[in-house]
Amino acid sequence: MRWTDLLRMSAQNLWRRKLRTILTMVGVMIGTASIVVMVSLGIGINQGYIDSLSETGELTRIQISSQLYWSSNNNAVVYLDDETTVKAQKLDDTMIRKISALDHVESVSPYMSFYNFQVRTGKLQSYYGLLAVNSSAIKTLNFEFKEGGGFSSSAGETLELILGENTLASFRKQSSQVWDNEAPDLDWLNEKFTVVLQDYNNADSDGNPKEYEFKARVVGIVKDNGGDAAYNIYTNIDTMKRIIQKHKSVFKDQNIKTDQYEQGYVRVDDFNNVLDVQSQIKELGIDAWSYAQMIQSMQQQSRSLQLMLGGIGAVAMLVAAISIANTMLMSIYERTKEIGVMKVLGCRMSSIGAMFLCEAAIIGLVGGIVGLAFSYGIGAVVNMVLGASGAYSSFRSVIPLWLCLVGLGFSTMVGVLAGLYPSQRAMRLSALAAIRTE
Amino acid sequence: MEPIIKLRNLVKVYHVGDEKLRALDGVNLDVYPGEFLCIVGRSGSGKSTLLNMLAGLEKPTRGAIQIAGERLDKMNESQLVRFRLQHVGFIFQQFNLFPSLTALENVTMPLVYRGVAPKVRKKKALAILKQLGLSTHVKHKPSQMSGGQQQRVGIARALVASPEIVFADEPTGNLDSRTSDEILGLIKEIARKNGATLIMVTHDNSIAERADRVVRLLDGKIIEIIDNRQNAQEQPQAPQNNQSPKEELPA
Repeated sequence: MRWTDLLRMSAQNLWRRKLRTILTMVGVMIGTASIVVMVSLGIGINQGYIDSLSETGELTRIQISSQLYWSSNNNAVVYLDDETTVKAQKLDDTMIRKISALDHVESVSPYMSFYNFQVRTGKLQSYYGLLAVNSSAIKTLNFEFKEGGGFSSSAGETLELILGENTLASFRKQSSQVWDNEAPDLDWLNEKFTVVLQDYNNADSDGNPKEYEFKARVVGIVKDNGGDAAYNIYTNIDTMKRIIQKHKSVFKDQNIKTDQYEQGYVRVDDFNNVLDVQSQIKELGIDAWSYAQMIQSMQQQSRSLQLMLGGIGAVAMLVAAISIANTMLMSIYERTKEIGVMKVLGCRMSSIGAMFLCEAAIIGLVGGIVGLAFSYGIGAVVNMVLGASGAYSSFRSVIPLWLCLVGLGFSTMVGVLAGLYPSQRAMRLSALAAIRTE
Repeated sequence: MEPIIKLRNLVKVYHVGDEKLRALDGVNLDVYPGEFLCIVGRSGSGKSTLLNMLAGLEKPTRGAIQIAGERLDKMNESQLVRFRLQHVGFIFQQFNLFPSLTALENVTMPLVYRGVAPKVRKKKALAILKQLGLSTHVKHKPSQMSGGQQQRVGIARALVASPEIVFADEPTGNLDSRTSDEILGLIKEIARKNGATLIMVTHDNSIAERADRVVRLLDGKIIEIIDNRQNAQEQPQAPQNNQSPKEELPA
């Protein structure tokens, strides 16, 4: 028998019993929709995490830190996992070059933080400390400039500052009690700034620290792109080192090291390589942390959530499968005579079996298609309601193509499996008994 | 001429409760190509059992059935289906048309099972429906046709694939006598035109009279074989043989 004839006959048989076919399909539809919707919510939650972080470029960033900066403990270790450790290493320029040489690493930016520095302009002062970075930080930290740009290539004596957009509002008079979030109206790039070191080790009798002033100017303002780049005031690490060298006597009590760094950022080319690079860095003896790692553990959690949600849908599908089997068996009882006549006319047993399997598969497939359409509808409503209510933004329904295909494949497979036994029965019906049935 | 059907010592035993019922009790018979053979007998004489066995619908308890050189008693069900597909057409007493299909679709079904292309099978089916005078009822469903018309569709369906052997189980049993006559004429005519062997079960003597040979069964045994051609003008096509053949079939 031709497969086109087989399909046509199966479809005709189903169409002859429209109501029953449709009711059975509704079962499959509900089963498919519940699985797809449940899984899509799981995916949506996952996707939400990733989307909210990937816009800021923070998904491909690794934060590195040295265990040896603050303590000179020679036994310090870095944990590769719960059991394995390696000896901690200094984060110095040699190490930075090693990390830069790793595969998939795009740029490395060590930084030094100076919390006891104050940035001032006129009578205004920010409460932000300074983060000294090199010029590659623009790439590593994904800077987008709202005004100005990066550090000039030949840094002189003046400290060049890059202000995060969100730090602008922190500039206010020291006496001011008003905590509005308004940035003062300044021509930032042309204003004179000073960076003040407050030396509490040499405070006067009233407890006021001794202050040392250094000239500074703003070269750029970093736009807030949702990440944390706009929450810092940056300065050029090379200029900073030079100033520290020049004023050794001032800095000697500040516990500042110029031969190594405390922390740094590493930019990796692709999200999928982050964990790999991260573990390579750890093996070098430097601690490393990334959002990717966090997302991985979140994904593991949401995967078990997805499995649970999918399981609920699977129960609905099981019920649908039973109803397909029931419909097919009913149909075989009714068509006993017809099957017998087919056998007498010389219709192959395999064709008879295939015809019934095909009917069950069509119920599964069509039910699956309608169920998918239904799932898209439910997903749209869920997203609309959650979007309108301003609910937790990462909770939404996402139906990727693979879920569509898996949903359809699964519903069809359920149809075929549910049709296996009925079709075997139809094949085994005795032709003689079948035609004798009235 | 070599017989197309050979039956040797055919026995069929049914178990009804504790009792054994011999539906067929040692039947030997040869049927020759192109013959029109009628099997007659009272109800319970074993004639339907014999026909079912010839069509491969039932297995013999003992004995051999050879049709067109193939041993039916040694075949499994799939092989029997294939055998029917290749050699056999079947006409039912109850017509057994597919109720949801039109006359044309019903007639094409054996060709559909054979995997014949849609255009070819439509052409063949239309041709045979025309022969049977049903050109105007091609699109009718069985429920929209009279008994005689339905049986004509049944005949068309049995003969559309030009089988070598046509079995008919009381084909006129559900029809009035005038229609019966007409239907029988059609079956004979087309079978003869196709050169098909026609084997018919009936208990209508007026039909049996029109057969080439009549086999009378009683209690599962052949009690009489009448050759009507001895009285006819034309020469018999097959050797006259009123005695049951005895020689064994090779395994």
